[in-house]
Amino acid sequence: MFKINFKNEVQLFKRNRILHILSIIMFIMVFFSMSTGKEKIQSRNTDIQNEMEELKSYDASLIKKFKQKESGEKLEKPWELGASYISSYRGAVSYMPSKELSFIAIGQSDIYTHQKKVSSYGTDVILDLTELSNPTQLYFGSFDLSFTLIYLLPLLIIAFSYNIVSESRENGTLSLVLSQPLNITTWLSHRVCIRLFIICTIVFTSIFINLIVFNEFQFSLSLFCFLLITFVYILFWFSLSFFINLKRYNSVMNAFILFTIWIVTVFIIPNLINNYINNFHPLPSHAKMLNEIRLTQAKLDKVKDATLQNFLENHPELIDETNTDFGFFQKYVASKKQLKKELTQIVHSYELLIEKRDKMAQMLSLLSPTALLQEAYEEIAGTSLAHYKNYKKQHQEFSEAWLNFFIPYIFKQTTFTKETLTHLPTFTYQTFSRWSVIYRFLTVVLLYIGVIVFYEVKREKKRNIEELLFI
Amino acid sequence: MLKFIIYKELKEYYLEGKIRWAAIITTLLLFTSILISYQSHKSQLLAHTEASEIERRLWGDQGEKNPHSAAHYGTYVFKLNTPLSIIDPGLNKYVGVSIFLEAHNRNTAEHVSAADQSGLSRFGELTPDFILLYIIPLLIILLGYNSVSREYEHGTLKLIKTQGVSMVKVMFGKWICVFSFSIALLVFTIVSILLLFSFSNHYTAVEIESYIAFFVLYPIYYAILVNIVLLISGLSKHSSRSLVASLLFWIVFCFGAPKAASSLANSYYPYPSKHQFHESVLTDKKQGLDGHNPWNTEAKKLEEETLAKYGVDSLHKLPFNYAGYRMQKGEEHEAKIYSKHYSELKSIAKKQEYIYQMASIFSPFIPTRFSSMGIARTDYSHHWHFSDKAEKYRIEMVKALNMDLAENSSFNEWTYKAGNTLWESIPKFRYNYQDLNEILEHQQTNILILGLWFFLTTCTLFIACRKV
Amino acid sequence: MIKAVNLQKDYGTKRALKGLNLTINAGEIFCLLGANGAGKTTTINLFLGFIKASSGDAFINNISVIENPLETKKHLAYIPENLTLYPNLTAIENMEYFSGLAGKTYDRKALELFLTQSTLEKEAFTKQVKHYSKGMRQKVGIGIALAKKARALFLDEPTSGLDPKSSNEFSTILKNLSNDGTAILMASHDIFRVKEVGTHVGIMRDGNLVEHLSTEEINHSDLESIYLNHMTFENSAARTLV
Repeated sequence: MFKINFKNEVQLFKRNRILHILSIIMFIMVFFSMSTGKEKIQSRNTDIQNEMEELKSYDASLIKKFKQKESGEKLEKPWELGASYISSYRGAVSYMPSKELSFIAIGQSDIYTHQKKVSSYGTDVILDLTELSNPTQLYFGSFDLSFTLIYLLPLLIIAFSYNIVSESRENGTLSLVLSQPLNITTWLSHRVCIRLFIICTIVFTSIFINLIVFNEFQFSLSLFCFLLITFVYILFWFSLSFFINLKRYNSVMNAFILFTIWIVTVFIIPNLINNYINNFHPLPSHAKMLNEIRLTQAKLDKVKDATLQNFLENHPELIDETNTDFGFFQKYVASKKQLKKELTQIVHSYELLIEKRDKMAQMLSLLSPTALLQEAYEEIAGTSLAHYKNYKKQHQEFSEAWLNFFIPYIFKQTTFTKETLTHLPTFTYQTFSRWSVIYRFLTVVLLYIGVIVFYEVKREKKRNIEELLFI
Repeated sequence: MLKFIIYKELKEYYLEGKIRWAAIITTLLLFTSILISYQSHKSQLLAHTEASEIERRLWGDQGEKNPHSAAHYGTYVFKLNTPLSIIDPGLNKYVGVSIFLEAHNRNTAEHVSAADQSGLSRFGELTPDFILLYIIPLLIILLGYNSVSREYEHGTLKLIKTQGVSMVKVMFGKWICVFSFSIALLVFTIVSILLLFSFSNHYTAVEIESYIAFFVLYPIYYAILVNIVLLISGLSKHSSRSLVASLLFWIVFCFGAPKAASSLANSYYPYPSKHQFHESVLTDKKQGLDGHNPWNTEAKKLEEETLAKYGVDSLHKLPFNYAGYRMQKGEEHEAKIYSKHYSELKSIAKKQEYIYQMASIFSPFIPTRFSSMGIARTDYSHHWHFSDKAEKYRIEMVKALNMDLAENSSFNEWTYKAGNTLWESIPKFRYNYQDLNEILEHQQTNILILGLWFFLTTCTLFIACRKV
Repeated sequence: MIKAVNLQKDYGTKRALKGLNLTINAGEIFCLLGANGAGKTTTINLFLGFIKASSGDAFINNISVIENPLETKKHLAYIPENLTLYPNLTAIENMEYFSGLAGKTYDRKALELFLTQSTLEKEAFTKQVKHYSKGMRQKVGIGIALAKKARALFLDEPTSGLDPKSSNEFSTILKNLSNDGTAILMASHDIFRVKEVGTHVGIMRDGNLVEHLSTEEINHSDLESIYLNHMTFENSAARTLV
């Protein structure tokens, strides 16, 4: 029976112009969304590259100045070769490079920056990693591949599968089918599987062709994961279609119900989850945190000398008996250390509340396959909030290491040479992955699919053919 | 005649279970969203008001310090949302809520709340504008998709025509029925909010005009959608095709066109990165505005001019602290640089807005969205307005501090300290929202596009009626 | 062979079919006559297993429909009243599909032969069914039934909406099938066609088989009188109720 159903479905598909048009539209949308993603990634990588190039060219100018100094020439701005100036003005750059499939989901990458200057000047405890962007764009979001697959693909699936049984009933073929020695659930499942195969062929072919066109095709675990979760999502929507097709409704009602399920799954549930989180687990008040930080800054501002004294008592290795003339920058560094210590606690408690909120959001996301899929796509693309938080953490750790490198030079007035320049700490991004996000999506959505299919298979014996035929 | 048509249509709606349920559920969702939005607005208002007061207290309690230190200590100003943001929170989640005002730097707004939220938050929230802009159109589709097509399918169209009634009248009756549901929900929204305000003393005369503006904007949007849905129903003759086509339009209007416009706007007119922006500002600070007159050159010129003006040969002999005066002039120079760069950003934003207006050809949702945010004072232009006012205040604040240093100390007297009297003499930052007339002027193009949509769809429907 | 033993169907308190006892042997064409709602389609649906009997049983080739629904479907063929088929497929493709579902695979030549036997014009074989008239679609339905080589055939109002020529052709095909040993149960309003093609006639009223006649023993006008008599009695009863 499968073979004959397959042949029949392919024949029907070949002659359905509307589905051809929808397939072409899907291809175009995949192309457009991929090109949007690619553009964003290119711009991101260009920004990182430009900053690294700037740093390189600045270093080249510094080396030139060091050589001039060594040859006895008088420099216009000799302080530019000092440790304080290099640590603050030259600084370093931390960056988060794109992953191979970053273009599939823009995620939070339109809010955040991917490279940030590291400097011994300024505090990074309340680090702001947001990028300059038009909030209107953030509001509407981007037409990326995740949007096409999460929002629009289910509509194609619905258009393709909402009326398998009802159309058969309406064109009189259902009674002919049911007069054959077959099981309606088996017949429908064959047809659903075949349509699933056709849709997967259309979608994956569009993706593969576009990957080749954009020169991004390479076999990798990420690509495999991406295709797998997309397949499971397609399977989810087909299982819903399977469920609705076996109910006693006409084509219009089927379309209406499936579309309502789409609205509820894609909008209402995530919206309600967001409302719940925002009302019962609201973001801790930024304003309040800001006030606490300002109070602490004001307090430390008044006791800079004492702070420096305290700092040196804790770091006796930095005391140089021959030079006790500490100026602004030494006081600044000592204050910065103390400020960081005090602010870290405030910021940490704020971040703990956000983490708790995130955990609640993650738990509630289990109710929404679309939210889970968005999370999974962002994980593969490396554009989730967790990635940026991790990047922030890596930046702060590197920032600490950067300052610590310079402290002996700042306090003990150790000479900063051309050779020291070649030993400056450099940032290396540590890849951050959470396979648990992918497993979560697969487990939960496969469970939903299993429940739906199991329910219908179990109901087969009690199935009322009368209702299906509208008798 | 018309009343029979309307009565029959309304009766059919009442008898159809899914319409009853859809109307009830939409009303419940709308009511829930209004309550949630109101609560959220209230708590944010409280938090920001409190923060502003604490910040003002911190500013006033700085104790004795050099005015320039105070200028570096700076102050934060917080954005307070209008009550109208209850209906349409617009871009509030995506713009910073506080700006740090300090000497030498014009900072961008900080603490974008979306930055602390996961990808789930990008799905949106159940707010009144979500129901008004996305869900009510679906209700219109539900009510109208088979309004004409079912007459074809049941064979009643021929009967109607043989009764001697004009199709225009029949269509008008159907139009009124579909349209009335959307208006009823809009009235419900505005009345609920006004009632909530009246219980909590938020009612202000200024905002009444804005509510009236909402009451003009949304009906036009709904009228356009009713025209389109009835047109599709008439042309497709099959209810299932009509439903699918109407839903397709909804998806293109509400999602496809805006997202595509966003992607194109970013592609053709991208914003510079924060780093590029700061580097450009830094370059101008070092090399002077547009590469001319670097500050160190200007400073030298200023010194010579000032000495000449007061007829003295040394800065110590000036009747004021030249350091303070020079800092103020430097500050003004920097403010000009920032003004130039922020204006460039604004012009990129304007060009991006142009792309959205072009996309309005494909979607009446886009001009409605922008106009609604404009009226609620939650759009980007309002954020710029706030930012510009904050900058103006910053310039005045720093000027007051610099001039105090100049007038009350002598050159190189870095031990000079001012006290709380000076800090408190600087007035508190007060922000007034943009006037509705200003907003409507800014939204002219969007309103015009909506008007055009309404005119064209109404004419098309009228012509189609006569040909049925 | 088609057989009903005390076959009954209730919908709540309404008895749609009341204790039907009926046997149709191989080669017989049994026609059910009756007004709308008399129970003709209910009878056919019970044999097809589309609805579950409240009591009694139906048999196809001595296999119980209630106990072995899938097995009975191997031995029967069905042509519904409104047969639209898959509009974008050709007659051959429709036939291939339904035969395939029945577990029978044929090559193109064999399928064309079945269509020829159903008197469909050769030019129409490769046209999409959406361009067919009702008569042509009915012929494809016959072709599908022929391809199944079923021993029992069920038809629901097969000549409704057909022109006289097509009805005539249809009658000829049915007679040929019956001569081949197929037992046929046909529900119809068409008294003339019933007399023309049927071997037995059953008149149904309110779920009851009120008359069972052999068409050889009766002529057209007698049949009409008996039928109308039953219908008129029904009408007077209805008038009395009003």
